[in-house]
Amino acid sequence: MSTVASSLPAAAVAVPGLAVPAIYALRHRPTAREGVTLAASVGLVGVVTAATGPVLGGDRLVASTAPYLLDVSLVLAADPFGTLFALLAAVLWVVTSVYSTGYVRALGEDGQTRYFAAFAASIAATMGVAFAANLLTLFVCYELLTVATYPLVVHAGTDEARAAGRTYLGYTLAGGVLVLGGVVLVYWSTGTTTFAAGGVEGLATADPVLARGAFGLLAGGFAVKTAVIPLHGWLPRAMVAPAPVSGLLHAVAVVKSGAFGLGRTTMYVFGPETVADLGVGTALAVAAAVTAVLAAVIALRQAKIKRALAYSTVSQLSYIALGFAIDARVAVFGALLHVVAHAFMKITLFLAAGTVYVETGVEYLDDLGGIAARLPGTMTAFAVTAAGLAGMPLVAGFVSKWHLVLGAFEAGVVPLGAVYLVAGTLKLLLFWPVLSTAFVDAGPPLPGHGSLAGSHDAEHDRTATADGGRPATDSEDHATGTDFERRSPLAEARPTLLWPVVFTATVAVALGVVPDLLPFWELAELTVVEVFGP
Amino acid sequence: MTLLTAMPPWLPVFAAAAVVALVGRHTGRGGGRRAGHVFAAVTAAGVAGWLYVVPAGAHLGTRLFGFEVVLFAVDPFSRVVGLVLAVAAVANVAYAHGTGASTRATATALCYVGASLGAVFAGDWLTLVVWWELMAVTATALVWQSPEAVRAGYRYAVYHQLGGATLVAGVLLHYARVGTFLFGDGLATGLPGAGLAAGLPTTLALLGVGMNVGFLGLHVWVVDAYPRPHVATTVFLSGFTTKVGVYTLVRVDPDGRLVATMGAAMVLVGVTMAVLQTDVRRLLSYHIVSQVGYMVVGIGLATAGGRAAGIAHLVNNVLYKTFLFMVAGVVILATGRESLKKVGGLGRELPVTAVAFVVAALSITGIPGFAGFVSKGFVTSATDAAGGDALYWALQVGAVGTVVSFVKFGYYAFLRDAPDGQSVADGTVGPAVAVAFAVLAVPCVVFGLAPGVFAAILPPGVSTAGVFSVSKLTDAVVITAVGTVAFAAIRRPLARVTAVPDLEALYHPAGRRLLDATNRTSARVGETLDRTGHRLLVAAYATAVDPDAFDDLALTRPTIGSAVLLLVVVAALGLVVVLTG
Repeated sequence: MSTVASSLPAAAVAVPGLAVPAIYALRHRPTAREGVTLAASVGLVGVVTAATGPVLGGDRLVASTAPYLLDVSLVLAADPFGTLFALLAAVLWVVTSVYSTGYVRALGEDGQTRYFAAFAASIAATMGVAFAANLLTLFVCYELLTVATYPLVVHAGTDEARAAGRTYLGYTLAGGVLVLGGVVLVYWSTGTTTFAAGGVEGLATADPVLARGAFGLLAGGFAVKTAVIPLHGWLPRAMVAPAPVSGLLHAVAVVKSGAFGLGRTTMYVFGPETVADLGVGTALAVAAAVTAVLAAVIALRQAKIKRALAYSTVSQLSYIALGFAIDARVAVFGALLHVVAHAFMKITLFLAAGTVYVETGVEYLDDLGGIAARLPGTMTAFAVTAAGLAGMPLVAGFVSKWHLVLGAFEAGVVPLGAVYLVAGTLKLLLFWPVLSTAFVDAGPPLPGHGSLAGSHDAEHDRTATADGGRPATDSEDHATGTDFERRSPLAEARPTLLWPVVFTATVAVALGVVPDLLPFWELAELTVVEVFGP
Repeated sequence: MTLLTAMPPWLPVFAAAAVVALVGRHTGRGGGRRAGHVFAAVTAAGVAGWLYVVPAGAHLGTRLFGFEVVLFAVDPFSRVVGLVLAVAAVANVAYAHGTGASTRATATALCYVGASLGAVFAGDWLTLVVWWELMAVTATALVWQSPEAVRAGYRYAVYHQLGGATLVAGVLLHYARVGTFLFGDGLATGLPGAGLAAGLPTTLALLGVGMNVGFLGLHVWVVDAYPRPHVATTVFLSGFTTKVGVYTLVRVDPDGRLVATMGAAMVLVGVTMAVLQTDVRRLLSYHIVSQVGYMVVGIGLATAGGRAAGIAHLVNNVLYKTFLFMVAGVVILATGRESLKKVGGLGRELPVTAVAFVVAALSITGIPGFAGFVSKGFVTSATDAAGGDALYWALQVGAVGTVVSFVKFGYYAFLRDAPDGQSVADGTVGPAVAVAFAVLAVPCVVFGLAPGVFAAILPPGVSTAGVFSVSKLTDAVVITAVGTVAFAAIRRPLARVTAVPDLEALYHPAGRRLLDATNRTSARVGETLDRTGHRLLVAAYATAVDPDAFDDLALTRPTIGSAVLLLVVVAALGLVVVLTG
């Protein structure tokens, strides 16, 4: 692998970054303003794609600055792992930009300029996280991402949104503090914070107590944004944000920057051997395994669509964290694939939930009865990706989960592999009733309904029956299926809301049939080779 | 690669599904539906012919998800199973047309057929698992087409998800040990492959496959799901899932003797429960369990003869069990009643159906001259040869029970006088149903009269020499006589038996409670952790920034400012440590 000086990684941060002032400048001309967002997102895909070519060819593109702190510089570099994340976020930013335009206009949201500007800033920070070449750069961008997304979380301006925003900052900034502590410890032990595939050299021989402490701080800090229980509390609350924000940031950019940081920690700071020697992977693996199952169970008793999806995200992110924690070749490969697979599937679900809200005002799972007649295309996309999350074949989630389970088995940790299978079954219990209600309108009792509903949604007053089923009058209400008018897929929603969902669902399926269709597969392979050897 | 192996056999079936869905939607009601169904039936028939002549071997090897796979593996086992499934598909499409199934339902059913063929012709575990899961998905979607069966469909999905996950675990553990998903040499020699790695992989896979097969204890979904949806849906479902499961059993564990005992238990319990049923389709569903037991016994003998006999019985069972479900469906559609106690005298009202019933019932009860007699003979001979006395007697007792339940079926539905208030609607089924009957009746009779024709398509190991031996014929006469007399003797007490509980009475409330309890516990755990996290955070603020924060555990007080301040303080502390260290 050769190191090549290049401005592409810096350009990837600059393109969305420069879009921020442009968006503000055009605040009185919404169409031009959204044009900037769209142009920047397409431009960003161009930049990242331009970087992907050489990276696939084995080059490492480095853009450097002067020393920033002590002798540590802020360095941006494109390696396979970072490029995978950057490419993913860039592509989905295009999709979300189109969707956002439709979403905020359909709802006539306030503060649209702030919304689009903060969105672009978040993407810039995400690019920084992806292309950070050392821990300090990663830390800075990780914190900037928190700050940049805050306005999006509190976008609605309600008390609930403000409270959620405070919780969000509390959790993520505290996580940032832990990361910083870890960075400091790593620098202290080794004199460097630069990532090295397979681990920083000095750490293997460093004081094990210090090294364990550093791992604990880094993993703990990154686990906040990865939403590993009990550090997950901010994510379900952040669901007050508009659907596109939940879709891109809280299913892809923000949470995956946490998972990405975990991957950097286990593979590029400590490396598989040191992680195994120190025995620190086990603690992370157990926390992730517990989260994967527990969050999937908690998801079952959510009454709000987006909260159910949020807990499903918590569970799915721990799939990835668990893969990184196992830190073996196939498990990591599976985790990398799942970063991509989950992104396309979950963004589809969130955007579909957003479309449901815009078009019908429905926010609760209970009210979805027969909605597939009204939104056939959207709900089909929802159904397909939900099946993918449960691990059904021909959707991207099957392929990544297959590798994750296999990786766990090959690493000799059979119970951890079983966790994926149990969590998959729980996803079925979550989504099946939702789909049957949406499509057939006479399904089994919904999750989050009646006796299953938890106190989280106490504000949503529903009559519970003893067996968790619907009260009789309720089911009569719904049984007719005439709550929603029947529409054709072409007339169900404005095109800016429909086509992004169709696109991401199509990609999720395409990746489930031909997983190496897009460069993600090859980038994941290169990452694994870089870390674990050919 | 010849033209015959240029594509896998499921491809045209999926194409037919697309055609049915499209023409059904876009042309006039009757014409488009008919054209679509005819096209689908012709396609399935074409697939059957193609599978008959396609050369043995592993075709269409490729890479899937980064692993080596074989999409189209033909050996004597996959060929004959695929063949009979394709034939059943022809009859099922005709039946669906005649019973008024929607084109959407037929299209979904064809996807299910395609997935089943995909699983049967898989040459490796990855391909098999993919199709296995898709069978569950398509079957569930098919059940969805009948709104009255949606909840049963949910349970069906859950059972199959559990089975599928267990199978996946077994297969992946196998890979972790062996390093390949391919079945191995079995294809070349014509014998099933080497099976999964012994120990945990095989055990898990047997459990997972056992769910589809309907192993005792895992059979609940069969009798729960099959009696509920539209009759054409039941006909499709009953022929494929359990049979693909049995076929997969051969692949998982070709030398597993333990399952033979399970098979015998399935035969006995299945038939006993069947005799006690009054719901027509539930009775037949228990007979699936019982008949699949015969196949499992054969395969569990771990001899070439046993495996071939098991497959032979599988083939016949697809034919006559599908046939029986079709008959039951016509009875239900014509009378609007599902219970044997509420129908009667249909021999006069529905003569064609009555004749069909006779052919199918004579097949399943093992009357000489019909298909069941031949394959049951194969199984009992193989059992005898392998020295399984207990198994042998279990099969014979099971055969008596089978006679009892079909004499019961025939007596109530066709022979006895019609009960009060029964009205048989005219024209509830179309002439296509007769076509479906014919497609199934012909092999039932031909295989029964000319066992040689049958043996020619079976895997090696069965001998037709002793099929019509005196002892076999005597057995058949005795079994039939005992069964008939037994029914006459117990008819009155039997009539008083009402709903007989099965394990579902245990599983479903238990599942409900488990889910509720897990939910409640997790709610408590989750909220406690959540609150603890908050408390810690507040405590941190209180210590570092704002002592009043303790008063307000709801965390509304600390502001962004204080959080940032905290960050700066800690960061500064860290820097001090670094600079002075």
